[in-house]
Amino acid sequence: MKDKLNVFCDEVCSYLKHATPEEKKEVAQELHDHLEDHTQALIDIGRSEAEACTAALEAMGDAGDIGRELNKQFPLLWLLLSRAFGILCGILVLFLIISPSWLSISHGFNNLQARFASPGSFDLQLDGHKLENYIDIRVEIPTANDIVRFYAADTVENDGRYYAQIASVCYDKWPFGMASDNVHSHIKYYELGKDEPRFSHGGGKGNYGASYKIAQIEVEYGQEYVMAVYDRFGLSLQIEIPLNWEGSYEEQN
Amino acid sequence: MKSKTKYFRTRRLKAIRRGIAVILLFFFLVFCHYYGFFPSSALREAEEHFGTGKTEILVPYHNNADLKFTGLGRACLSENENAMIHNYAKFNVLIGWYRAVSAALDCSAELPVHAGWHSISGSESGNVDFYFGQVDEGSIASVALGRDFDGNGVIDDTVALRLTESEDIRYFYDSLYDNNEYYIPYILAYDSAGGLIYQARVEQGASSYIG
Repeated sequence: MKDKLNVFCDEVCSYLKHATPEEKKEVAQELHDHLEDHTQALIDIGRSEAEACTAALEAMGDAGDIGRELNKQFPLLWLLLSRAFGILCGILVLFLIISPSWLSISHGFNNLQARFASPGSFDLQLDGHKLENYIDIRVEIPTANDIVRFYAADTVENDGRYYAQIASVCYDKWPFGMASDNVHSHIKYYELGKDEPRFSHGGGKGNYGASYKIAQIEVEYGQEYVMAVYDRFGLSLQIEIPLNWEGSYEEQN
Repeated sequence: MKSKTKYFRTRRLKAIRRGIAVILLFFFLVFCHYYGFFPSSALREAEEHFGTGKTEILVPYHNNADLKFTGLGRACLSENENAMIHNYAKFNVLIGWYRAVSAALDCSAELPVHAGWHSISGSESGNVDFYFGQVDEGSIASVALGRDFDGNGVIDDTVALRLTESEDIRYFYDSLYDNNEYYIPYILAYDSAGGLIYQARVEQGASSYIG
């Protein structure tokens, strides 16, 4: 009986021109199960196995008609599209894995750290001095899609002259975006005795996700704030960075 | 037997799901800066790097005969109201189009002429000095590059720069093959009678090496 059913199923599947082997197998299995169920039902009411099998096959119909009708359910276009998209997906996933830009994930982490972490966790020092007077002033640079966060402002004394040390970090508004080191580098400060803002002495570190800088600016003892300036490409910003002189060298002396 | 349309729906659904996956993956790669599918990715990178804001391409991506840009390297000039960018983009199979080297010119000041330079040197050629900028003064009819080879403030020779009028901008963009001669560049602007009406040192620019 099974041989007859298999022959019938194979004949139906031979008309499926654009079905994949898996799809043909599925169709054959479903057809076979249906025929088996019908045959068993006929056996249960008293027919012999051979009679039941023949009756079930006759009731199903002509294999050619069934095959041609089923073939309409397997259009070539959707198969080609499915395979093309599958290949494209594979290529894009390959790019994701092998591209050096997978580092974007770590840069995204650096971006989030720059915007959310407490300043105490930023280990940035200048000339051996770790800044500890924390502030939180954030300025948007819309032309670069960046935010500059001033997170510490300390005062130090050296050979009778006083300096403000301003720490800042620059990160993109979009977590996977690029922190513009060029923008950050163009923040100038008004120094003691100078009429124009200037680039300051300092240091920094950074990567694609966040750029850290410390600027050292000479100031007058007791000066209330330092003015930071960004003036480029039509965008002009002035930011007052407050200075804290509590516990400073002059007071201690 | 189950509905005959089940097979058609399954095949179609599979294709649609994969198509959606391709689109989502594509946008993820683009927005997370994983891959530069188009040269415009490199220009966006330059805009973010300099903080110029979005610019529009003025001179499309092109090769340079003197510099012999290697592989798929191409340069373009773009501008907006306050800036110009000279961007050299390269293509790498792993990361797509990316910004190799570039120079930006701040045009926000009130000046009759804004001029910038970008000196690019390659391993197989000498320097190529690109000069670019825009003319905001209507009485200026032509511009030229003045070169001071001795550093004494005296212009030793001049090279005419091609001035182009676009829809709402008059700009110049030229390249000069340079056998590593050192000179201080000046921008010279002339009126229609040929009289010199503006002169300034070209200070904004960058030197780059493309290998």
